[in-house]
Amino acid sequence: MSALRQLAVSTRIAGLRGESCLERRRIRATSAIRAETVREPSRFNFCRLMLCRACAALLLLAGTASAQRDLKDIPVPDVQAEMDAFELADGFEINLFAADPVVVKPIQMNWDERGRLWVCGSSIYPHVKPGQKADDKIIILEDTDGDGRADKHTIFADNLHIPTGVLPGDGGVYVANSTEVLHLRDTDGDGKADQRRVLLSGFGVEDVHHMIHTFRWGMDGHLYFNQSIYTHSHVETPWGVKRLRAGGVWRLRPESLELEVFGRGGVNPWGHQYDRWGQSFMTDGAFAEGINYLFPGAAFVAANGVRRLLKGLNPGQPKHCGLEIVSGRHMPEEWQGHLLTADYRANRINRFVLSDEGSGYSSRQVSDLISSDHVSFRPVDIRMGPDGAIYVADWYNPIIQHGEVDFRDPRRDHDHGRIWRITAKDRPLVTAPKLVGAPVEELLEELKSREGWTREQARRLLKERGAAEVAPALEAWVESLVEADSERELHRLQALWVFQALDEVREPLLRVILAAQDFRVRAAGVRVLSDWQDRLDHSQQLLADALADETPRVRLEGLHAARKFRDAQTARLALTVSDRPMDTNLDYALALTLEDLHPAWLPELQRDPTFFGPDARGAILAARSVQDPGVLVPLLELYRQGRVADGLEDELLELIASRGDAEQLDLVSELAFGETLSADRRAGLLVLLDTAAGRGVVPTGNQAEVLTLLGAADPQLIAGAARLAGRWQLEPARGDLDRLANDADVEGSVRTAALDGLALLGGEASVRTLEDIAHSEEGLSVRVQAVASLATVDVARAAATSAEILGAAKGAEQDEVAGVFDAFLRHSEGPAALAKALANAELPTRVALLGLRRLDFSGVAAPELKTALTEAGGEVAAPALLDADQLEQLVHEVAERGDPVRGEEIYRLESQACQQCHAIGGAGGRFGPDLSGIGSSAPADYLIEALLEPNKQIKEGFHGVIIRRKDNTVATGIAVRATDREVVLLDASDTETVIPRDQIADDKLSEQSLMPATPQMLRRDQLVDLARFLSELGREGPYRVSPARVVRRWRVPVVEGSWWQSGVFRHGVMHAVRQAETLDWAPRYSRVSGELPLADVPKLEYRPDRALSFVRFELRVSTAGKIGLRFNSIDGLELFADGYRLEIPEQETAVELSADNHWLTLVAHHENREGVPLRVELFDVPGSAGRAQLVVGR
Amino acid sequence: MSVGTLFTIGLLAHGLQASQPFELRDGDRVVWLGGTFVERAQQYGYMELALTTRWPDRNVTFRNLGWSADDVFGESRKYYGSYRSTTLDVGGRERLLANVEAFDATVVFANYGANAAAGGSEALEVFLRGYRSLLDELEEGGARIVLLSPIPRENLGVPYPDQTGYNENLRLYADAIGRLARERGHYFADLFRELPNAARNVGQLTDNGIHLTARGYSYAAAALEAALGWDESDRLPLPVQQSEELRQLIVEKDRLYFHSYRPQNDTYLRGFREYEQGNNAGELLEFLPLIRIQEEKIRDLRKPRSTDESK
Repeated sequence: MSALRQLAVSTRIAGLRGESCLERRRIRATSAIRAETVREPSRFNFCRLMLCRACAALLLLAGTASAQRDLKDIPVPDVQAEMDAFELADGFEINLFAADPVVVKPIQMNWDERGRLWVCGSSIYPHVKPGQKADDKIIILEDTDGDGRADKHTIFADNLHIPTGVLPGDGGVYVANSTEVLHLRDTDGDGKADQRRVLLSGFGVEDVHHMIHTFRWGMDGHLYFNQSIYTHSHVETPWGVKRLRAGGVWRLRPESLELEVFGRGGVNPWGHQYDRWGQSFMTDGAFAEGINYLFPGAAFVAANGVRRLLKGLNPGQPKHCGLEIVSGRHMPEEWQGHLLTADYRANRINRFVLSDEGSGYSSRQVSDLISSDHVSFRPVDIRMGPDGAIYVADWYNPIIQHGEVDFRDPRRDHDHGRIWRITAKDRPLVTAPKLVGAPVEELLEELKSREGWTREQARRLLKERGAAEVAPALEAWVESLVEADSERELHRLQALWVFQALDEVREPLLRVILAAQDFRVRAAGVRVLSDWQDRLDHSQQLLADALADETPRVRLEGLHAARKFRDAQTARLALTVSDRPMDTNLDYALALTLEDLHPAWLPELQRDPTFFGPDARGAILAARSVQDPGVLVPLLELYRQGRVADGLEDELLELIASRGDAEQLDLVSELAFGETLSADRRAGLLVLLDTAAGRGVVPTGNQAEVLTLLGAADPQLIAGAARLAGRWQLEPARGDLDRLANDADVEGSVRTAALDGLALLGGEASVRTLEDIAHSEEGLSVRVQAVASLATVDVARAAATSAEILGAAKGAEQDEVAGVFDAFLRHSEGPAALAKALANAELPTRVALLGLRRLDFSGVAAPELKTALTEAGGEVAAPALLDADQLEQLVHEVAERGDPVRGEEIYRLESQACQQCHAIGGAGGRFGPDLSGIGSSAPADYLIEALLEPNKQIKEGFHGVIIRRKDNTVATGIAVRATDREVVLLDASDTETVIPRDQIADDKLSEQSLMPATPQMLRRDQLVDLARFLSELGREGPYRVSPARVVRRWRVPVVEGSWWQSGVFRHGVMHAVRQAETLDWAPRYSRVSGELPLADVPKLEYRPDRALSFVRFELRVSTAGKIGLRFNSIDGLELFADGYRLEIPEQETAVELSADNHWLTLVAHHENREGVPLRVELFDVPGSAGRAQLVVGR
Repeated sequence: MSVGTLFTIGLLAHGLQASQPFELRDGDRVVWLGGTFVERAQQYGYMELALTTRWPDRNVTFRNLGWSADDVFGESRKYYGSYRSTTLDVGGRERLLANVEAFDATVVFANYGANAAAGGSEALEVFLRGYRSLLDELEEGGARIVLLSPIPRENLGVPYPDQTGYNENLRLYADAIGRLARERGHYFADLFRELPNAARNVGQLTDNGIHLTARGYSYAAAALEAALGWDESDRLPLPVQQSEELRQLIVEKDRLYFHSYRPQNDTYLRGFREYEQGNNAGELLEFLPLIRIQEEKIRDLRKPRSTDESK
């Protein structure tokens, strides 16, 4: 090891972390990346984690003994061994097309018109070594004798730096080369690139597995490519600077360098493919929602700067890389149109079937194309070949983590790679047509090909031939298409796309397409319309027709196209879409369109409030789509004119409360204080006024009227008024607030509100009252609330009082003091104050542990409080961190003794709260990563460390953010959305909090994982079992989440014995089911197998020998009709849908349901069920249009 | 306060430095700041070659800190605190200044305005305000500062856009940058005017209307020398072969520096996931001796080689 390397291990370069950068710059000696001052060690050398890091580094350097702990599982890179491990779908076989040393670490592959396969790969990945040359390659593979094996290869380029995309075209090849899009050409015919043009540059490289990738030719002749989450791209083009932060899909016209963002988001959107009608689908290698329907302007998880996000079509499915759609005569008829994408973590290729649904699609997973238990088989790209076979790029690597496993981990493979070829047995291969040098007429005929491969190559070649040569022939070809051909409309569409690629506008052909019988063809036409809109004679009319189309997909395309028309009239037209049934995609697209067009329509609406129609419906819809407060004036005018229908009034008032100014808010306060509305609604308005006050806006007049509400009869009104009086600083309310706060007879909610009101009112008088209550003889819960309120006024005095309360808590009431900890954790100075007050204090062990747990869950880094609690708790020992030997020993125990069955039960324990934040198969919390495939990607050492030291590895997308508001309150959670106006945080209780940016004092990333460490909670053998269970998840065997649509998320009623007695015994089961609607329901989740043990469900013994349980699950029926339910056993079961009994005559039963969300309730009669767990699977009923999805999540 | 007063204050503050033609001194450490024009210059090395060979006896070292599409606010240099929150998308200016400071630069070549010019006259004030605040910070380090104007764009015809109007804006910005330089007592190099002079009747300098090709950069080098008031005849000519070798050394040195100052995977090395790969950030330091070796070669090669050595 060189001296420098040693230095590297012990020296930190001051990082670029968080907000302290500016501060650090002022400390000149330690400035960021002080590259030239090697000899001067940074003062940031020895942070806490560094010690662990150094251990880890030593561990890796210590020799084979420890590095081998997973190597024993790593197979020899033998082709035959890998081949022997494949399991193929029936009727398919596999052969090796090409392998190392020719193919090394393939990342993407694409075909040229000669049937040659271009492959980019990287041995530099994951990170360049100092002094290492950029020598990554583009290889061309060729099968010259047609035996299905590459017998010729050419190194086209060998001077690249982690090339992540390759796509032949325009006389050369387009390559993603880190920061650049290159076009490489061979001008002298020696087979090697000799001309290198930087087409675009400025793409981000913050994480190399996020760099631009997935190069694809669109139907429109544009080059599409993706980037992933951490990437910041800043690109100068002749048309202006284009920036894209976070993931998304770019659309480039290479000849003019026009560049636009086609879609946004995705964590690692590593797959993109078009169907035959030009609709795009995307897969994500780090977010588990299967197939995503990608349309212009779509935004998915983690998109930057947007307010609305779309979901994938298969929530809870594995994470995927690559995407291809099966086509061509070699493939069996029943496979046509199926989507293939690689579950690279579990060494297999999944298959999905799409069907049209509303404006979009539903997607169903069917059996795999190929699977393997060979851990190095890593399918990353899939392409149909010229012979009709399926080609698979196998990255071949036992290690797939990018950040989580050391870049220099010796287990990473840098030398291997394979291209596999999968063919259908006993079906003839396709003979690819000769396209090179073919006359234009022949190329045009190839647009009719059954093979997607041929159509794609022909389309590209026609574009490259140029308009002068192609356009006249294309005109003639369109004319020659005969009506008798059932695919004439598709062929015309192909022609339209070629015209589009040639940038030759043909309005008559477009109009023919827009009038096609097939709605998919019309929809594709509308996409072309959007590109040509400023060059057509009748574009407005064509758009109006699209927006009024009978099919929702065409209307959806119309909404995308409308965004290109920049006028107010178009906005009005777009709104007419909402006169018909809407769905998720249409809602999304309409809101986006209205938002985009708002500079055009807002002045019109301000001039004429009835611009969107005589009632307020359109105006409110439009107003909701934008954040500009200027929309409120016309809305209020509509209200004054009496045009706001009753059902819309609340929406209007909410808009005013969330964005209005003081005068506009008067309307809300007048209605809240007046007598016209019900107490319920008035209470709702008081909450709105409170929210408005939170952003510093209070009504101009009549504030004092809130005081009269303190004497109201309705407790909701009193509570709302109490809080508001405090918020508005109405000193005259103090007497009433004191009285309510001290009155043990008023309702709990009123009392809490009065305590809050006093705290908001502030001042010494409030502090004393709250202190008195906290010290009083009253019940602990009131005292805890008082001290929590006090913490918002005077954190130091609250801390002193808290120390007493915490110290004195006894027995079962010790759990009630959680609120004390939470109150301090919500305040920026809270943890320090509480720590100070606890110095030298003694706490019951259980209280101290509870405090540590709350601290862990909060994501707040407060080492001083941690120390204080640990010391005050006496017996609470800080968990010892594992050294390398101990970790290795544990890994060994997990393999030898870990029991996944016991582990799953530990995972499911309510006390462990795993399921509160984590999901399996999509069912469970979303605060932490879905764990369905964790075992197939994470080695045991990683899992153990994640359990014991959650801070060591935090998964992308799950970093906590700590936001300090200007009032010093703190909010912690995951930022699920952020725009220039607000940040939305998700917390562990699955609640989203919207924080307006103007209330934010500062924010930073939490250095803490949001996951609490588990060691205090588990015995060693339990930890070993849990780790074993996690390491089995996603691997072949009983802990692989089945693609079947099994119910995994359940609800059980939270009930008391007496309720059961009256509910069931007296009135019968159906009555009880209906009554149960009013109960609170708690979540339960299936085991990985899909079974819900009856023991997990509350059981009512209503007679000595009779007992039953209620359990329900939620379905989203997207298309009304028969929905199939497959039960493991129907013994002792009754089924209710929305309160009505449905027959279950047999294990497979179809139920008729309307398009809506439905709760299906099962009543299990234990005496007939005999302990058989519950398992229900959804299936599509043949012949029925009915389609449903299980609602997943928490 | 009149422009004249400002000018005087500037002169006082910066010791009349701008009244003499700009010179590089022995031991100077030069940084290049700017957008794509500067960033791509490192792939060709012509401008740095010109500055390296002007005074072969003076040891001058260079660091290219160009960043695609960057502006005076450091927009392109921002980084994630957290990928999902734009609140935390921060630190562009701080990163730029830290990089300048890390090299302890004695000379700054700054090239901004090419992208800001899209905003036309309406956006000029915002641009100048941003530039002034950047200069406020750069001046603290005491480096001599040269403001480079943006280069003009070329009209290449369909399918590229007509850049005539944009060039009007660029002229406006170039002039404003010139005034800004005078106002603060800095040097000004007017590439907007000198590039067309240096490349009269030679045809296309760009392949997209806005970014120079290799040939374009060789003319830009000549334009830079002219804009700095340097006489071409003062330069000791190097044999073509040696000049090309030297240029390759410069390009390789810039590549090494790029990987150390702006490494791939920075999220894991020094960014918010440094707890995972921060131990590997030490490797970035290993580039430094490699850069020094390259700079020693450059030092040896920037003077004409004697016949013996050239064998």
